[in-house]
Amino acid sequence: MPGNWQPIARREFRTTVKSRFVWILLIPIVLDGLLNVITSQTAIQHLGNLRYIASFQRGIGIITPIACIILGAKTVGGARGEGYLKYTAIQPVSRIGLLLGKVVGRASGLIVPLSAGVFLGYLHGVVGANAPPLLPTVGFWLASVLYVGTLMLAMVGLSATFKNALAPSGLAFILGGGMFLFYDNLLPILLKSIYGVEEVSSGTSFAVSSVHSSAPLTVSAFLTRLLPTNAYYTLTNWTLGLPNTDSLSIFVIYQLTPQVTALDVVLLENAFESQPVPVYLHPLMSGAVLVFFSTFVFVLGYYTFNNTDFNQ
Amino acid sequence: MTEIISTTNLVKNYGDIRAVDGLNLSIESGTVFGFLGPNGSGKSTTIGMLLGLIHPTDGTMCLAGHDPQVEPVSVRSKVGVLPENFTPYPSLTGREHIKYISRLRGEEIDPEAALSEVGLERAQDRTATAYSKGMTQRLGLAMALIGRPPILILDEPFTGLDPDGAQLVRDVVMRERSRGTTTLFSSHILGQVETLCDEIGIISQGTLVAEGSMAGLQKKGELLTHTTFKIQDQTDDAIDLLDSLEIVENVSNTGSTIVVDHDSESSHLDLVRQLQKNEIKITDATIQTPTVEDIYREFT
Repeated sequence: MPGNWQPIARREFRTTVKSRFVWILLIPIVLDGLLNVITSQTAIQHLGNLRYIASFQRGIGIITPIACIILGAKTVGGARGEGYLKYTAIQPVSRIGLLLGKVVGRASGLIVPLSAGVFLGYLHGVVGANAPPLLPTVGFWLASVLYVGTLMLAMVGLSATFKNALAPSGLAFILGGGMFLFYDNLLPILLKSIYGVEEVSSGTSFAVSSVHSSAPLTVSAFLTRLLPTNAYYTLTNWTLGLPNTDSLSIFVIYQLTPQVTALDVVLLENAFESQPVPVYLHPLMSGAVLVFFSTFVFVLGYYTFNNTDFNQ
Repeated sequence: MTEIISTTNLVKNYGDIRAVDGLNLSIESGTVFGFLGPNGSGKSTTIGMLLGLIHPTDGTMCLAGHDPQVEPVSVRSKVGVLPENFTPYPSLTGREHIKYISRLRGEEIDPEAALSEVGLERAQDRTATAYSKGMTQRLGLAMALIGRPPILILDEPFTGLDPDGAQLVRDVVMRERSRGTTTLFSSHILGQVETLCDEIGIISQGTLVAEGSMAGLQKKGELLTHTTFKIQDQTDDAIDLLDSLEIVENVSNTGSTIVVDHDSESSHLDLVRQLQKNEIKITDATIQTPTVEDIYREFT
C-alpha cells in the first residue's frame, strides 16, 4: 500500500485547478480545436461530426507535454528546498504515496481544463451540425486522460530524480522537444544506416520518387510510435475511427483524399495489404507504450527519491 | 517506564564527514528529553534518521517499537513533529493546514479547537504564509499535536517566539507530559530546556557526550552547587563547621555572608541540619545550582 496519498492528491488537484497557468494553456487548445475543424468532404465522410473532436488532437498532443513538464518539474525537485515538502514527508505517508499523490493530483488538475476543452468541442459540434457520437468522443477523452496521466507520471518521476526543478524541466524540454521536432527526421537516418536504402515511387499523378530505408515496415512503424506524441495520435485516431496510423488526423484525412498523397503518412492496413497488421502495432499497444515509458521513468525517479536523504 | 526511543551505534557519514558517530540514545516513555548540542553537532541529522528521512550509514533505531528504516510510516504515525524553520503550505489558511494534516494522519479533528489550543483561533481563516514567525511556530505546534501522538519531536520550538509564545510551548509540553507523551526537543535556548526537561542528552561532533537527569549530569560533570548563608552571630564557628564537612568543597566568607560550594543540590539540606544541630542561627539561605548552560559548557 502506498499509504495515505489521497489527501496529497486532493491538495495537488486543488492547487493545479486554481492555477491560472493551466487555464491559459487551454486557450491555444480551444482556439485550435474550434477554429480548425476540417470541413472537407473526405473529413465528413470519414469522421462525420467527430471532426469537432478530432480538431482538438493537435492542441492536446502538443500542449500537454509542455504543461506536464512545467507542472511536474516542480513537484519534488523544485520543492526539496521548501520546508513544506519535508513537512509532508514527516507525516504517515510513504515516499511512493507522496509521489503518487502528486501525480494523481496534478494530472487530474490538468485533465479538468482539457476536459472542458473537449466538451466545448462537443458543444461546437452540437451547435454546428449534430452532436458528435458519444462513445468515440468518450474514447478520445479517455485516450487524452491516459496521455496526461502517463506524461505527468513520467515528469514527476523525473522531478524526483533531481534536487531542483531546473534539471528535470531542462532535460525534459531538451530531450522531449528535441525528439518531438527531430525524431521523424532522425529515425529514417538511423534506419537507413542499419538497413540500407531503396528508391520508392509514389502513386500520385506526379512521378515522384524518394529514397527510403529498407527497414521492414513493422520495425519503422513500431519505432515511430515510441514517441509519446505519436503514440497519442495513434490511440486517438483509433478512437475516432480513423485508420491505424501515428500521424495527426488532419494529415490522415489529407492522405485519405482521392488523388492526394500526404508525405510520411503510413496507413498500416493499406501498407500490409492482405496481411493482418501485427498485434504489437495495434493502436491499443500505443497506450501500453505510453504506460511503459512513463512507468519506467517514474520507477527510476522513485528509486532515486527513496534512496536519497531528504535533507539533500 | 519503558524505553520508547533508542538508537544503537548510529552512524551517518556524508562523504568523508561523519555527522553522527556511534550514537547510543535511550529515552524512556513519558519523559521530556532535551537534545542539546552546538550547530553542526548532528542533532538534526539524528532527528532526520529517527523520522526515516535520512538513511543511516550504520546502526539501529527503534521508535515506539518500530524501526524507522523498515516501517517509516508506522513510526511517523506515532510521532508529531515541529521541524526547525517550519514553513507553511502556500495558499492554505490555518484551518486548512489542520484539515490537511488531519486527513494525512487519518484523524477527525475540529480545526478551530486545535487552533485555539495554541491561540490562533482568530487567525484560522488567514493564509498561513502571512502569519508572523511566532504564529507560524504556533501553527506548527498545533499540527504536531494532531491525533495526540505518543511521541513529540520539537526541533528548536522556541525560535521566533515572544515570551507569551514560549510560555505556550512550555505549557503544551507540560500538559502533554501529564498525558504520558514523550517529548524530544532540541533547543539552543538553554533556559527553556532547564525548566522543561526531565533528561538531557548532549551531542557534540556526532557523539553523545552526556545523557541523564540534571542532577546526574551535575554529578558526572562534578559541577558544584553554591549555597549562600547569612548567619546571625557565630560566623567563624559556622565557617569552621562547614569547612569540616565532607560534602563541602570550599567555603568563603564575603563579609556578611558565607558561600559554600558543595557537590549536589540535595546536600544543602545536610548543611542546614548541621548548622542547626550546632545551634548556629541562619537568617537567610539561597541556593544556586548549576544551570543547563553550565552542564552544556562542561560537556561540549
